[in-house]
Amino acid sequence: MVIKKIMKSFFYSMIFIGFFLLFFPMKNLYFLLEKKLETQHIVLDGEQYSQKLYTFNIEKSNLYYNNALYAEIKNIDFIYLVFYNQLDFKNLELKKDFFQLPPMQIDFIKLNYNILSVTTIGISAKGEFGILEGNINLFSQEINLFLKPSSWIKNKAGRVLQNMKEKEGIYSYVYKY
Amino acid sequence: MFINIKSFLILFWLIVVAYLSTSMIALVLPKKGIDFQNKNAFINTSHKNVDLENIFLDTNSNNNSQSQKNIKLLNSVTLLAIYDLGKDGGYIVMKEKVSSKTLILEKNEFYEGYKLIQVLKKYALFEKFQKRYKLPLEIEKI
Repeated sequence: MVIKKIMKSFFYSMIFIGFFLLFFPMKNLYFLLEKKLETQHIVLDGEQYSQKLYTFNIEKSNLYYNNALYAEIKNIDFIYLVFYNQLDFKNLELKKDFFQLPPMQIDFIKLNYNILSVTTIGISAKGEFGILEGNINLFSQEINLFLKPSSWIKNKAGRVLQNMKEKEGIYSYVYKY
Repeated sequence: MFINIKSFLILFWLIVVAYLSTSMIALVLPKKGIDFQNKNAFINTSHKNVDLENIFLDTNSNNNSQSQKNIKLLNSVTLLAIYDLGKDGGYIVMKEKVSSKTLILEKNEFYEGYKLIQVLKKYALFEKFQKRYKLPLEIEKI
């Protein structure tokens, strides 16, 4: 009986969360994020928004910092399920130098968060710089990055690689925040 | 049977509560985002101050004097040369006072967040956060 009751309440809470997320005004939440970012002189200026089933999509957005255009992002997808969340930046073009990195084309940057690893956010990216994998550990407040650099980044931004540890062609970097 | 009328009613109310609670949240959250072009619009659309009785009067002179008052001087750099290419563009050559570094800036380019919006004969006009900054040409004495 008790197990049946627990199962029932779990089922109902899942139904509630499911419909709550389905109806959630993600567009307005995005506007709130824009306003918060603006206080830091960052403007994320999206042109088209759409909210499909548990996915919020922004197309053709520009990222400005201090009124200067830093990046053009063709597509941002945010998948928000309770057990699995993903923020996906597709076709990103850096227009200015960014943390010693030269302007470049990035195919994608993905941030994943799932309930199986509660304390970590996965990072994966691919672009002219090479292939990047890593994670953000929320518990130890560490960002671990592993980069397989392309020859392009070795020529263009060797200084960045000098700050990283190299082992069998993979460059690693640990940042504590 | 698991899905009976009672269960169906609970499900129905869960959906209604979910919808109502998200609607309440939507009321609190902002309705409009930040548009970079509107935020940095050269002309401020202050339509609320339009006086319908004086709609055909020329108000440009008032606007100009008002905008002139808002112009401040940009002190961190020295303007060395101006290349005015008319409406389409222009270049300026300027020197940073601290580092003595010489910079060339094209119209609509940025320097430290200041956008070069106008190149005139005797000065260059910058804009940052809707405020305008004037950089006069300095003629060095030989």
